This record gives sequence, C-alpha cells and structure tokens, in this order.
Amino acid sequence: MNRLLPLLAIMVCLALATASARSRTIVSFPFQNTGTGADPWTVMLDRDVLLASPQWTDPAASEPPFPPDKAIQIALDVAHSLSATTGISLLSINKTTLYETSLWYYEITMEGDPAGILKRNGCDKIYILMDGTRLKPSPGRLDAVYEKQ
Amino acid sequence: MSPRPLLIPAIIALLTALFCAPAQAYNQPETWPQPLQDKAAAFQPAYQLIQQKDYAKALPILQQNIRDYPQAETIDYEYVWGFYCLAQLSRFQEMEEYYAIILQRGYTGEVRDKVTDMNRDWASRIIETREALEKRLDEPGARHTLRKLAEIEAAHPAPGRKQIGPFERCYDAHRRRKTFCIGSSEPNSLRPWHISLSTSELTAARKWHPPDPPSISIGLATALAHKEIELRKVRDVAFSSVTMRQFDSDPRHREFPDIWYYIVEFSSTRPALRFAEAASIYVLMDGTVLQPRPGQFQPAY
Repeated sequence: MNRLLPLLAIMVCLALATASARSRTIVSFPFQNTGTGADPWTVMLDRDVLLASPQWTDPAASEPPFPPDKAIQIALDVAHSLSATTGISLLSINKTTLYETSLWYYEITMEGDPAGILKRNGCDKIYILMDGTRLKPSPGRLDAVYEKQ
Repeated sequence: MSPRPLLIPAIIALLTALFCAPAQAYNQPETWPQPLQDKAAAFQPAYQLIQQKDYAKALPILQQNIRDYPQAETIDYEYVWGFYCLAQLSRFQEMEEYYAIILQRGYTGEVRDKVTDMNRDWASRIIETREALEKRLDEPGARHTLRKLAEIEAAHPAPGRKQIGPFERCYDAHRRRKTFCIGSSEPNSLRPWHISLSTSELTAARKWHPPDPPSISIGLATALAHKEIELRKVRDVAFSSVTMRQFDSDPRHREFPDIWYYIVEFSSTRPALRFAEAASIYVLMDGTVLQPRPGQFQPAY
C-alpha cells in the first residue's frame, strides 16, 4: 500500500491540474495586429462577441448580413474622426474559425494616409463584424485575457 | 641633449600646419566629423548587406552616413545605393527625393573617386533601380513615382550624362501599355495563368464610388463565382473570402479612377491540398466574369 501512495499523489496532482486548465475560460483574445512596429496595436475580440456574431449562412445565394456600404461608412467615420482625409483601397469579407465558431468579418484597408495618422492609431485596417460591431484596437501587443478564478 | 635639433622640425611642422590648414578645410568641410577614409569604411557594412540583398538593414546605415557626412564628395555612394535600396523596399516616394539630389549634385554618369583613383559609373546602378521599379509598377505609388522621376530628369538636363532618361523612357513605354495584369498564378505554378484587362476594357468598365452601394452586390458576385466554379468543374473547394479591389490603387495618380472588381476566393477542402493554389474568380462591376489566360503575363504596347 505504501508503494502506491506516491503514484496516488501524482494522479491527484494531475487531476487537479486538468481541472484548473478546464476552468481557465477565455474572455478576450488577440484577433489582429495593426499599427507600425514602433506603435503596435492589437485588435481584441471578446468571446461573447464572437459567439453572438451573425453568420453568412449561404454566400452562394444570399447577401452578407451587414451591407458593405454601411461597413465602408463606419470605416470612413473612424478615419475622419482622426482627421485623416482618405478613402478605401480594399474591402474584403473573410471567414475564419475560432474556438470552433465561424466568424465572418469585413476587413477594410484605408488608402493614402500620407501623414501616417491611421497607422499610428492602429486604424490602417478596420475590422467590422456582420452586426456592424467595429473591433477597436488597443495600444501595444496584448495577450489573451482569462476569467478570474 | 641640446634642444636645437628638435627646434627646426618643430618649426617646419608648425608652418606646414598653418599653410595647409586652409586647403584641407576647403577639401573637407567643417561638417565632416571624420576623415574621408572613415566615411568609406562606414559605407562598407552597408555594401556587404546590399550584396546579401538585406536592403532593410543596409538603408539605415547609408542614411546615417548621409546625416554624418552631408558634404562629402563621395556621398553619391550613399545616395545612389540608397536610391537602389528604396526601390527594392518599395519605398517609392522617398526615391523621388534621392533622385533629385543625385541629379542636383551634377551626376554625369561617371565620377572620379579620389580615394581609389578609379572611375565610378552610376549609370548601370540607376538602370538596375529602374528595373526594380518596373517590376513593382502595380504596387501603390509606383507609377506615380515613375512619372515623378521622369519629370526630375527633364528638369535636370545634363548633356554629358550617360544613358540619359532611363526613367523617361520607361514612363513613355508604360504610357503606351495596352494591357494590365490584375491577377496571376503563384510564381512556381506548374500551370501558370494570368488575368489581364486592356485599356479599352478599363475605359468601358462600370465604375464604383464607395461608400455608394456597388452596381452588382457582393451576394450576386459571389453567386456568379459559384456558378463559374461549377462550369470549370473545380472540385473539393469551398468559398473562403470575397474582396473588392480598386484597379489603380495609387492614391496620388490614377489613370483609370474608380474601377473596382471582385475577387472571390475558394480554398481547398482537402487537408493535403490546403496550401495549394486557391481558385480565384474575378468579376467586374457589370457582372462580367474574367477568364484566365494561360502562361505568364507579357504586357502589350
């Protein structure tokens, strides 16, 4: 019996570690990096926002849930609020799978910006979800945020 | 020991210093913090990095030399190689300033190097820079810079300059271009293809002014692309993204403004082919699906 005690202790430790890892629930995680090398920004995505984001269920036969002209207007409003006189050069709708959930989002690339205003503010690319939620950048290179135990 | 034998060399040294100082100051302006040879030594690491094609690391060294030795007679090394690095790094707008300085400094194609006593011929380097720029003409800002470089050449005529007008000739040829490539296969593709538009197609193409709604919707463009995938009998692919791209993405100089097109991408659903070339369908704003042409793109003039 005494010989089995260390083995039992290891098993208990492993079980506790597994339980702890399982309870580490993610709240928010880095989605995209923007800005410059000197002024990095991170676009964070909350897990709740990801789960609630509308899906583009049938791209072959339906329009995206959020229209592109409204997405462009949001992007232009952001640029103009930073005093950048610019248009857009690229608009794409992408799909990615995160935590077994499909996420559809607009990625809008702004053009011009000779003074680098947008880049310094992490807004050279603007991310908008299919319910019109704009994912805002935060300064720095950020790590995932987990729920407090 | 008598101090007299030392007195004569000391007087000679003093007189030499007094009379030679103005001449030295003329050849080496006061702004030089180091002798000419030190500047040449400072150039060497940048040159080695350029040989290794590490232009991003070479350029700051050249720029530091320009700051440290702005009046050096051999500063053309830094400007011409910096000009070349900028082209390789697609930093087009900065190229304009460098080329204006190169020509303002009276560049004639050959410079006599006082350190090595050899002729330096920058014409070939400038032609190589032009070739690097030519390869990037579809990148934002490149065509505008090409036009500006041609204007800078025209503003600085030099009868003795070798190979006059590498950029003027290139811009002239570019203006006569009749076809433009908007998409192509990967460089090492076994079955190369490209999609091009002619100037007449571009002139007739339907325009889009964002943020207005596009003349054909994203849903319709995507549906057309799905039909095209069925027609081409492409199997085991799934829709992955749709992009609206502006044809002339150069914000400073647009020959065909407001021409946009869709690129609908399909990626492989087979794990083994996940990184294989994606199927891309190009759709114009009037619903025309562009067909790929076999082979590499060759511009027509």
